[in-house]
Amino acid sequence: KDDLNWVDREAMNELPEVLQRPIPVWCGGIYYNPRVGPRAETSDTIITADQTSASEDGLIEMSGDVLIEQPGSRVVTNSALFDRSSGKFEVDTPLRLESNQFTFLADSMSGQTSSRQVSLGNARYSLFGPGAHGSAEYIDQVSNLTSVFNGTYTTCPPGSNGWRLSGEQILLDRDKGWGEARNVVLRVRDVPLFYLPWITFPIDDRRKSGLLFPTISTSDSGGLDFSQPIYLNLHPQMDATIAPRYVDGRGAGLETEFRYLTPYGQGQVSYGVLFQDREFDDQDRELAAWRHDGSIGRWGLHVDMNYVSDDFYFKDLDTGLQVSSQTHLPRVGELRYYGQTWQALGRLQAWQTIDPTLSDDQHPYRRLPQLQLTGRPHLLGPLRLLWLSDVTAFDRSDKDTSNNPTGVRMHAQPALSARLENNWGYVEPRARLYHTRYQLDDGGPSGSEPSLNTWGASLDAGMFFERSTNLFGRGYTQTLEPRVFVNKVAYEYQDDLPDFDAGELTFSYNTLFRENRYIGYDRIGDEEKIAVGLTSRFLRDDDGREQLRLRVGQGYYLDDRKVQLDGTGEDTADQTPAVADMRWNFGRDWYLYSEGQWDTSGGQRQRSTLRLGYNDRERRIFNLGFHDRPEDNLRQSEVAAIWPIHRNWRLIGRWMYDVENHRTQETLAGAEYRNCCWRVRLVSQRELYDDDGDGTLEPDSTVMLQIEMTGLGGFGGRVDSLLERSISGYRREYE
Amino acid sequence: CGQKGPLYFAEPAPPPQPQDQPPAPETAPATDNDDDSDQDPH
Amino acid sequence: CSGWQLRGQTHTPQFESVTLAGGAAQLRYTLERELTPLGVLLHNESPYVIKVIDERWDRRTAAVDERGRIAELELHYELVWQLIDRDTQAPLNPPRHIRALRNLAYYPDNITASSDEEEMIRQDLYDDIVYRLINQLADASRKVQQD
Repeated sequence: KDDLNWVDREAMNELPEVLQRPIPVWCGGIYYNPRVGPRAETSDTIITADQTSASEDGLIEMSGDVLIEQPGSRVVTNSALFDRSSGKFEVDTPLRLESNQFTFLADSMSGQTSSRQVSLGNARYSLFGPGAHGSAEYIDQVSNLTSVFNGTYTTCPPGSNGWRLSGEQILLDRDKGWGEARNVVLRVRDVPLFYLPWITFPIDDRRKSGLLFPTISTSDSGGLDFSQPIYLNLHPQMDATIAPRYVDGRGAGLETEFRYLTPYGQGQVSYGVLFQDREFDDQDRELAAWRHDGSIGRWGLHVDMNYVSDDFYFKDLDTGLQVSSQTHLPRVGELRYYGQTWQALGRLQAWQTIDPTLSDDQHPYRRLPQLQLTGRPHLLGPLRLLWLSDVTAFDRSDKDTSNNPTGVRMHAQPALSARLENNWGYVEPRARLYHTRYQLDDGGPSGSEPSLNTWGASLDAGMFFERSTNLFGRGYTQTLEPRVFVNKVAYEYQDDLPDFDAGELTFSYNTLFRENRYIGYDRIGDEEKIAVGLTSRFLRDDDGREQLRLRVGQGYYLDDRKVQLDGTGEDTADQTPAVADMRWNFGRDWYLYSEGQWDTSGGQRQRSTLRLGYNDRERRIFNLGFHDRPEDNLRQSEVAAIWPIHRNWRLIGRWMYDVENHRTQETLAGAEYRNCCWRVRLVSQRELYDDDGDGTLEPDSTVMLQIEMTGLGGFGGRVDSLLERSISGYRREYE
Repeated sequence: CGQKGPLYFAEPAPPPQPQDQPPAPETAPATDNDDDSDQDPH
Repeated sequence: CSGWQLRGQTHTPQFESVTLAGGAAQLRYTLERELTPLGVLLHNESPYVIKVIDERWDRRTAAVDERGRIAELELHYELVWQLIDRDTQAPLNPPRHIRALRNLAYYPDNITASSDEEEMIRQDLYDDIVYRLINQLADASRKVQQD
């Protein structure tokens, strides 16, 4: 049993509630001493002993069960000398010195009470902050600086030799929050592993510059891969991580990340390089990215600039389907103003296409710039003007060989709306005009200044009913929200107009109630439709939280739709698919979202999605996903989890299966062992991706290992990045 | 060894984001369901 | 039928005004737009402060096409908020988590339209979160007015 105040779980539970401190589940206990309160400045010393004698010059001798107590510290020994005039004291029998920060056992002690300075001979110590302990020939302590000479330091529990630093001098500064050691040897299970002339390490949770723990991995596409991150704590609002990297089959390189936080937004600048990649005919491989998001009052700024030197950077040098599935990297900078009545957007947007299988004419347009103004000014009583105007200059890269037109599009969409609403319902008629005009650089089928004018009208009405009800033995307010949306958009021939950014909407409950069935402003979809929907919510009586929401809806067409994207024939279906979705938050941390659509005339099933998740924001994560899109013959399932199976063990897994093509798209299998002073993570990952741009998928597998000595810092590295991307809800240690 | 952690504001958090002053009561926008307006019903 | 009645104050906070501390400009805009018709003002001097403890977007590939490219995108938004009394700085309810999640089809050969649709769905998620936040705010306001 340790005598440096190691409190295990049972002992902790026996303490009164208010004195108990949390013990991490993967560790058997913590160093903690509830018997000694915090330090107090004006402190009188209470001395009790079997015999005490005081001479005239203020020298007090004590012997036999000596106890010297001050608020904040206690000394227990057999004999002691205390000079009241100078405050010096001398103890040369085995002693125990305790405070609410540390515990010392020593054979002798001398010191000075007023300067809070003490020296201990042949001592053993425990520091509660870092949860560390060790022994030493002697220890000097001056207020919060503990100097350990010819001693040891470890955060492993008593009796464990997991790892240990031993050296001539270990200085532990609780004010600065870190320790510094000279000429030390790192021993693992008593086997000397490293000799370090100098090392610093954190002794609390404050950020500190220094080496983070390396990640070693091996993959089919690159062989052995070693990355050693170096962390620079530049400023409370800025830091940088520079990770030199060596990939055996390819070459040496570097990955850097600079993070910043300002009142005007936060962001991250990343740069990665691999010099003369032997597997890429000795070319340098580069990645550069800047991401910024800021909100200042009503202004929002978003920047997402990316560059990679070639299409296969992520596939060759990074890991995980999340990155290898990317086809375009955004290069966008946008400034938004969110006024109460008027909102504005100014955007510069382009893309770097990294999908070699896309032909030039499938490459996206650049919007240099896009200027949009929207507004909802009151006119008279409930009458409002709804304004939308958009001016966008569409351009293509100069290497573009497709003859896709370029030019400026001006679009205006003024509307009048008269929304009448109260607690239990609303009705909103709208009348809209659509005007689009193009100025094409070099003409098109309908000249260089084609234009489009059409109009639309809609009526949106809904009611809100509610009743008290009971579900699973708990009180709820259930709502019933019927909604009807009648929409008319007049037909205008648009097949000759350019199509810069028009697209089909992913059909869902919400799209039933949209005015234009296309996204973008190049196509105004003609439509005569009545959509009906019913929503029911279950709101908990105790806090108003929406525990369950059910929605069902369908649209009925009164006429065929002539405007089509790819100029095919009219869409003559007389109704939309029926759509139903459910969102259920059950238990404290479970959530279920599912949506189904089916074609009531033809009877076949259309899109359906199921997404189940669990996240206790501590140690357990579980995700289940099923996506079925028959029209794109896409049917895929995903299950992912990080789940503890034992105090010290957590399993990590992810399986993404392509049901349609009967193949596993990605697997992730790993384990994390963690105790008081170690954290080891081994993750193996295998994915299918198109590694050479010929459209066929090849497997690539990677195994990653990261070993961290808890108590010597860390928190970052490629294992964390892979898990954050692969398992929805996973956050690295400090997040 | 180093230790990475979240960024934070060094000095006390910046003053609440600058925003336009609260509209004085008499110019509060007429809400749609202002049905107790005192217009003369005739 | 049994017990159905027209909605009363379930969706109407009993506050004259609230302050939003933290959160993105888009969240503030959406909250202001939805509170105004309910007669609740959003400005910086209200006695009731909605403190945004955490606001997080997650965007991930939910499915890939036969060439391993993004075919389905999942957008996941989580807001953690707490109602605080401005004068005493005392919390008036425990921290609340609201989560919203939506999938959309993603087409690599029409990336501009897909990214515009993603933006539209982000606003839908803000609308959904704000609607539920207002329900919880209405509930909290009734309890604050009682005691």
